[in-house]
Parts: sequence; C-alpha cells; structure tokens
Amino acid sequence: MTPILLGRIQTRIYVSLVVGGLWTLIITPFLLIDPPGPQGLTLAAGLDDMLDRSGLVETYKLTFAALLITTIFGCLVWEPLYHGVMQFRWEKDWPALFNLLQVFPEALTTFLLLHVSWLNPLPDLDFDKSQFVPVPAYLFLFFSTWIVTWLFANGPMKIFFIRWRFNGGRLV
Amino acid sequence: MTDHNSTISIDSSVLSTSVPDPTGASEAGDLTPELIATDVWSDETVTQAGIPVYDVPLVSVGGGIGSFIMADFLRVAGMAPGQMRILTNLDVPWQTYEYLTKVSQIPRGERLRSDSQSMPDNAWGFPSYAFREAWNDKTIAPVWNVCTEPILNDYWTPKAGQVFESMEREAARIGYWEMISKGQVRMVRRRYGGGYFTILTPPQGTTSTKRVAFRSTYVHLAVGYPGVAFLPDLQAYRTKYQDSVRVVNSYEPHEHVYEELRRRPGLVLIRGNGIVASRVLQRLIDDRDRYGLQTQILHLFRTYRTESFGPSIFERRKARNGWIYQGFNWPKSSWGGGNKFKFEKLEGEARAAYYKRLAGTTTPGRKDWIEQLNRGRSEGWYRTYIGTVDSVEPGSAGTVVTRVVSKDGSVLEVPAHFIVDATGLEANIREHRLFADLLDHSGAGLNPLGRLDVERHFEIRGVANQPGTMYAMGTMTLGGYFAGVDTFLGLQYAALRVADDLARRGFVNKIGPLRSTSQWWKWARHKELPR
Repeated sequence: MTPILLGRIQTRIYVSLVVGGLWTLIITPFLLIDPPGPQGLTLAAGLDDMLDRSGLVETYKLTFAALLITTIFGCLVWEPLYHGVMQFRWEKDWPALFNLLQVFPEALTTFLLLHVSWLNPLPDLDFDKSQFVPVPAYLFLFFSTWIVTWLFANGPMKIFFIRWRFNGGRLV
Repeated sequence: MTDHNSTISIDSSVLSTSVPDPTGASEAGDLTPELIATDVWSDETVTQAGIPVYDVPLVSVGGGIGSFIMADFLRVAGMAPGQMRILTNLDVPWQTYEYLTKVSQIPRGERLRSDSQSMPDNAWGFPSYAFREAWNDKTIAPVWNVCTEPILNDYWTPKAGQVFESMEREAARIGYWEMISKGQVRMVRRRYGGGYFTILTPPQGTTSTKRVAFRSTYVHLAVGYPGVAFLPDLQAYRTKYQDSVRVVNSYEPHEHVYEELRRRPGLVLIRGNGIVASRVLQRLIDDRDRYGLQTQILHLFRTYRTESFGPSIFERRKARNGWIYQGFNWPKSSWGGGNKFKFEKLEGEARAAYYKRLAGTTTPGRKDWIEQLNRGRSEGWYRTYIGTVDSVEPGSAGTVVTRVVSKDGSVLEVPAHFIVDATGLEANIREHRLFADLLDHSGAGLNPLGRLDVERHFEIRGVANQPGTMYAMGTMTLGGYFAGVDTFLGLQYAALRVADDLARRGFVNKIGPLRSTSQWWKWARHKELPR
C-alpha cells in the first residue's frame, strides 16, 4: 500500500471498528479465560458472574476496550511513527509485510495500556489493584483480529471503495 | 526532441490490415479543402462534403488498452454499449501492446513489469493476478510472494498471457466487440452548437464513402505511442549505410540477431540500462545457457552507478552495477500515495522539475537477472563500458565499431556483430497526426513536458465545446498532474476520473460503494452486463 498519513488514520479507524468490531463480536464468547477465582479455564460464554456482573458482558467490555485502545493509540502514536519511517523509503510505500509485522509492537502497547486502571473497564477483580488481562485469550484475540483486518485491508476493501487505492487510503 | 527520420513507426498499419489513404480528389464523401481549413465545423459543411454522419454520445479513439479500460469502467458505471463507439484499426485491444512486449522479449509466457493489482480486466484490483494465478494453478506461492514483497521477494508480476486472456474474457462480458468501428481516425474537430466531429477512414470497400463522421458530445483519446525513437548516432549509421540488420532497436522485430548468434559465436553490444535492456540481456544469456553458445555481451552505459544515491536521506534510490533498481517505472506512491498528491499540487516548471527529480531509467532488481550478470562478469563474457558515443562505423569482418569517449577523454573502439538499442526513447507528440491536428485546430496545448495538457480529471484543456468535453489518457498526457499515465494502473486511474466526470455531467451513474460492490459481484460471477 501507498498510504498518506490521513489515509492511514481513516483506514485504521474504518477497518478496526467495522471489520475488527465484527470479528471481536463473534470471537469473544469463544475465548478461553482463566478468571480470578476457582472456576479454571472456561469459555467466555460460560464464565461465572464477576462481582455480580455477567462474566460474558465483562469479557466483551475488555475485548472492545482492547480494540478501541488499539485504534486510538494507533491513530495518535503508531501511524504518525510509521508515516515518519516510510519517508526513508524511496518508493514512499508501506509493504503488506510491514503492516502484518506491526502486530508485535502494537499487541505489546495495547497489553500494557490495558493495565492502566482507568483504561481497563473491569472492576477491580484481583484485589491488589492490578488489572486482570488473560494473556492467552488476549494474544489469540489480538493476533486473530489483526490477521482478519489485515486480510480485509489488503483485498476485499477495494470492492467497496473503488477509489481507495488511488487515494492514499483515504475514504473521505 | 525527435523527428520523423529517427522514429520507428509502430503505427498499427504494420500490425493489422493496412488502411490505404489513396490520393485523388474526386472520391465520394471525402474531406474538402474547406473542412480541412476550418477549425469549427457546421453540420451543413460536413453533409455538403457527402460524408455520412453517425450520432453517438461518446467516441473513443484508439481501441487499445486505454479504450478498453475506459469502456470497462463506463459499463460498470451503467452505460449501455450503444452509447459509446470505439474507433480503431486494431483487431484486439492488446494488439499493439502484445506486439511491443513480444519484440522486446516478453512473449506471453514471460512476466511483465506491472503490479499484481493493476488489471485492465478488473476495475477494483481484487482479486489480484497473483491470487488468480494461485487459484488456477492450485499453489500458494504467488500469494506468499505478494504478502512478502518487496522485502523478502522481488515484486510478483503477471505473465503477459494472463493479462491478455483475462482481457478477452472481460471484453466478452461487457460487450466490447459490439462497440468497435474499424478504421483510421484522421481528425477530431469542434462542431458549431457543441460537441465534436470525429472523422474515420474505414477500411477500403467497407463503406460507400471514403470517410465517415461521428458526431458526439464526448470524445475520449487513447491512442498510445506514435512511435519509438532511435538513438541519433545509431539512426545516422542506419541511414548512411542502409544497415538495419546489424543495428536494431529492441522495439522492432530483431529475432534474426538471436538466430545468427546461435549459428556462429558473436559479439553483441547493448545500449541502454532500463527494463528492455534487462530483457534483451536475459534472452541472450538464456540462449547462451540453453544452447551452450559463446555469445560475448558488451554493455555500454552513459552513467554507471555502483551505489545508492540521492539528494537527501529521504530520496535515496538503490543502484548497483550500473543499474538503478525500481519496481515500476515511477516510485510506487506515484499511483496513489504521497508522490501522487505531490504531483497533483504542482504547476508548470515546478511540476516539470519534480518529474525530473523522480525520473530516471530504471529496471526491477530481479534475482535471476542479477545472478546471470554476476555470472557473466566473473566468467568474462559480460563486459561493461562507460562513456558517450562519438560515432558508429562499419568495421572489419562484418562488425560495427562504436567509438566510445570516456570521461577522461580517451577514445575506445568497441567492435560488435550486432548493436541493440534498448533505450526506448519516445517520439514527439506532433508525429501523431491526430494530435498535431488537435494542437493546430482545436485549441489544445502542451504541458510542461511537451505533451498534451490535461486537467486532473484528464479533460483536455482548451478544447471544451459546451456541452462537449474531450478527454485524453495514456502516454501522450505524461507531464500532467499524474505521472504513471502509461501503465495499466494509470489507465485505470484515468478511466475512473473520466467516469466520475461523466457521472457529474449525467452521462453515467457514479460508482459509489453499492454499485461498486454489486458490479464486482457480477464481475466475480462473470455475469454478462445488459446489452
């Protein structure tokens, strides 16, 4: 792809929220989570209530928080950074492979940001004021969402937006 | 730039049934001196000349890949096939393209220098040629390649044959063949009351008059290259010694060179360091490997770069062994990224300067080519020379001697049995009669690079004749607000802009997300569009 900064931001918002949102909605109940307490490894759909709230609803809050953090932090920090790095390339392009590899630093930053208490939507579950983020479920969610959105942006996106590829990734 | 003497005609008269232009005044329905001299024609003067007039809203002149892509976008935008007439002397839209790629050593089975998503038969760019090849051949390799290019792999590019075959399929789907009228277009003139007359000379015997006229609101010009120019010193040699056997241009048929080199060992000198030079070298070395030949390859460079260069850290281009490496003929962002937006903003001299900044003869850095030349260098049968050419003269034992002046002023005589000019210089716009007429009679002008001046949406400046509008795309518009005009993707971009402008004028529907999606679904199922 050959994005411009505004195109990066618009594409990220669209693809994360629409495609990533749909995927998160579908996949969240099937995440395997080991919640604090005695329940053990369980599908999110079958989680016990947490402090009188539905376990599944709380998981949804967490997965969508991850999606929103990735979108917003990406727009504010990562995309301008990638845009800057791209200027060192003669072609001013951003190969699909780079886009795919972004998953590693971004999975890390979102994971860390989920430990900031005001960014994490869960009630204080584990009583020592650190926030609960189930690592294997998080990794599966993040990587699968990334691959789904990456595939979409590198292919079917163009079916719906015929001018997108000429517009540096801008939708409007 | 260049003149007629240094130009090889790739006029399609050499490609298909020729259209003779007999002199003699008294033929029925011919141009009259009055018409030729008049800039704006009335309906009466045309009918008085006995030229039959056909009405159609849109005429496209050319009938090559540009006209094809334009027709494809407009059909997707809801145009009926009867609304557009394509005037051409080509049998199929890829005829000239296939001719040029074939003689310059890209037959159907070889790969073009074109991105996987630049597809004349598919307005969307999805699924790309790589996916389609993967699907047909039941292999994942092309998909892996496009996912990792250009970092782990060279750019994946389609085989010429895949492009032509897919266009043939799409032509049938959109009813392309019904939209064609054969013949040679002589001129387009403005009409009193709006719109244009396009004068066509049909093949002899197919019509009762010598010329026919198409009266249209819109005209679309996509005629491609008027010709390929020769290096001046080689042209001087060819004219002086009447020898077009030993000195050839890579864009003219030159199979005899490879055949002769198979019969007896020989020296061949290559001029140029672009994609065509790469292809000619590959052919020579492939033949060498395949038939165990002793061909000695000499390669003359004007400038020889050995390392990356550029005015700043942000504009470093990769160069090795005399070549400048670049995937496509412009930096990739010229079609839809930073460089495209930059070109769009620049005017006049500033635009010309930016063209110059990004231009340069380049070739893709393909692994197989690099391997072949490394082998040639180490085994001594590929040698490079650097300098400018002083003269080209016949030598002894059937050779042609090139006198090369190097930077320090010393002169070197390089004899060779064949010289291949792979520089691919382009001919002057005035050499195309249609454009010359447009400049002289219709108010068209030239852009900062000396080609046809067009707007950002490819409307030709100065020729509007309300409500009539004329558009042009392809190589003749180089120097405008979009650089990659003579590429598949560039033609698609131009066609989209023209289609959008025609939608604004109410001629077709705008291709919004819904139409785009439903039309793609039709394309995917190969569903014929309504006639």
